[in-house]
Amino acid sequence: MNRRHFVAGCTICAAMAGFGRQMTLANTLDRMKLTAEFAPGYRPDSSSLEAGIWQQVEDVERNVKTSHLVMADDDLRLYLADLVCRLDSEYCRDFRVYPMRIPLFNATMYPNGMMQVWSGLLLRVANEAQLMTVLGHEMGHYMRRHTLKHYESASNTANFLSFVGLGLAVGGLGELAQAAQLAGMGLIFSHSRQNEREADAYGVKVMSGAGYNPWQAPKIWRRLIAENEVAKHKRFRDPFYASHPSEAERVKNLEGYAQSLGFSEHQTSNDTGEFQKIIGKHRSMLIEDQLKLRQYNQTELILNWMMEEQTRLGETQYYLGELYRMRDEAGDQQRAQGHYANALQHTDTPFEAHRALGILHLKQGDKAKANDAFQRYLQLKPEASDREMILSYIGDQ
Amino acid sequence: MRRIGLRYIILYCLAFVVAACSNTKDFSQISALEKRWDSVKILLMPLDVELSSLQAAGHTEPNAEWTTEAKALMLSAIRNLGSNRDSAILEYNITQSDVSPTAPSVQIQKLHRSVGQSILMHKVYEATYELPTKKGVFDWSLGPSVQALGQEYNADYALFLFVRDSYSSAGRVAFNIVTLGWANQGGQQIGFASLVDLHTGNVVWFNFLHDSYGDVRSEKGAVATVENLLGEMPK
Repeated sequence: MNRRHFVAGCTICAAMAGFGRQMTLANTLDRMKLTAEFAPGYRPDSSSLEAGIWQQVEDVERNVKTSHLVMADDDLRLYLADLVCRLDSEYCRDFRVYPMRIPLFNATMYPNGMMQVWSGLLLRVANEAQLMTVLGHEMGHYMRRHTLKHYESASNTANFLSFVGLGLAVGGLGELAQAAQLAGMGLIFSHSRQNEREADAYGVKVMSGAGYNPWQAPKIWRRLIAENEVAKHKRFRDPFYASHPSEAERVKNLEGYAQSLGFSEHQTSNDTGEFQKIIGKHRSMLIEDQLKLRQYNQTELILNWMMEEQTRLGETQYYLGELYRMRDEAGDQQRAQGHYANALQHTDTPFEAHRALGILHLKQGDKAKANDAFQRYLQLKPEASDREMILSYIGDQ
Repeated sequence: MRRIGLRYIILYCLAFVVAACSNTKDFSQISALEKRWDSVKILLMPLDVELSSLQAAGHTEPNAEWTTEAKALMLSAIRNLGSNRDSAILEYNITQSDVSPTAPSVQIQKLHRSVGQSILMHKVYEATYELPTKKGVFDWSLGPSVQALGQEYNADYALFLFVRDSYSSAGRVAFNIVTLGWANQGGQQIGFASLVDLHTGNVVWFNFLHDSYGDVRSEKGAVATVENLLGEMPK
């Protein structure tokens, strides 16, 4: 630990006592190197390792470009590209953003400027400021060349370890060699955690610079923590191999940055106003994909957050109904029925709510009610692809 | 981020088990190409080639310059080879349609990537990874949807080449000297050629190459590698 870090460490101790925390974090953000390591339009020297990595990744990008997982929505792609330019007008042409239909919370940055934003993330960000946080974070990985650094660090560590391991083995200390290798693995992953911290800081810096409220940044992680808490199968988190800092640590850091940047928590962001329109177009698909994961506890949480937004209530109520109908635990049929009934009081409810009600009635043996619901569904959606199926339900009775 | 799949890792490990030498192993569904016209037209697909340096610890680092150079050398070696055969070799154009997920040619290349890797894994290394349904048979196929590619180029067969080549770095050499060769291997060349009938989709011929001495960075080496890969291809 060099002297400067030592001083910083002690300052944080003082901050923990409740004094000067704000100043410390402001200093942290200022002290971090959060600028691009190269000029716009950069391409690595063809003889470098970096060029080799880019060439591999370009091959990956060709596959991504032609993948049907890319969401075929030009408005969405233009919107994401535009947001990146709002974050950095100089470098934005070096990024290509691909929205991917993968229902998991993730975004990835490749060293050649390919960025992927997964649909599970689009489902979870509540507003443009939160989306900007993630885009900024990923841009940070590119600007600070994190893949290359991680690769070089892993490569050097691995090279070093094969010699160290050799020396220890010759000395009759084979077991120690194993320990050294494990410690080396720790080094490799901790380097990555450091990159994640830097990218978090970078994200907050550029999104707040573009007029977005940085208090939105920690909210993403708060929700993720809440999701983890209710998850049936806890996410495997091995402290040794985890490549990311814990969510709790991220929340703490991000809130600190937000405070130090002088934004008040409820200050509005300088939004484009397009978020609801562009992302909202995919809302039902995003929810349906999430439902198919059968992570009922998490989905329940996500839908309840959506209820708080007080928009598209009919649709949200319908999907809550779907959630309980699919889960089908004790009392779930009644819950589902309640949500469908509630949904039908709104005008934005999918016609499928009638079909779902029909199925529930059928299960409960109420054929007359089931028939009514099915007929209503077919009246509203005469071209339904499952028309024949529904007619057979009606006919069977 | 996906860089190297588990499959590749297993394949590389298996390759190291093989003694240091050059060998090929081919499988065939046919003894000769089917002549539907005066001459047989073979469509050469984009070369899937990657060169890297082997580091002391045994992992590889990709090298863009070597890869670009090797692709050019191999391509000219294939053109020369083609002129010595009855069949005509056409070359695949990477066009704008390649960025469309619906372009059949793109999906066929992706499909072949999977099928080719499966053959490598389960046929070439069948002693370890044999599939019960492929015992004693060689009947892999991409299916008749490849006809679209055949029609686009007016071709009878498609030829796919895959080469991964690595060369010892100074560190790797030092490591081998210190250990008196205990760390065993230097760089390795692994590759395959796969010939697909564009009427049926069947992989009619598949040749696997493993070479400890091959070097596609030089013209001579590239010619030798192409000869090893394609020399036995049915005519």
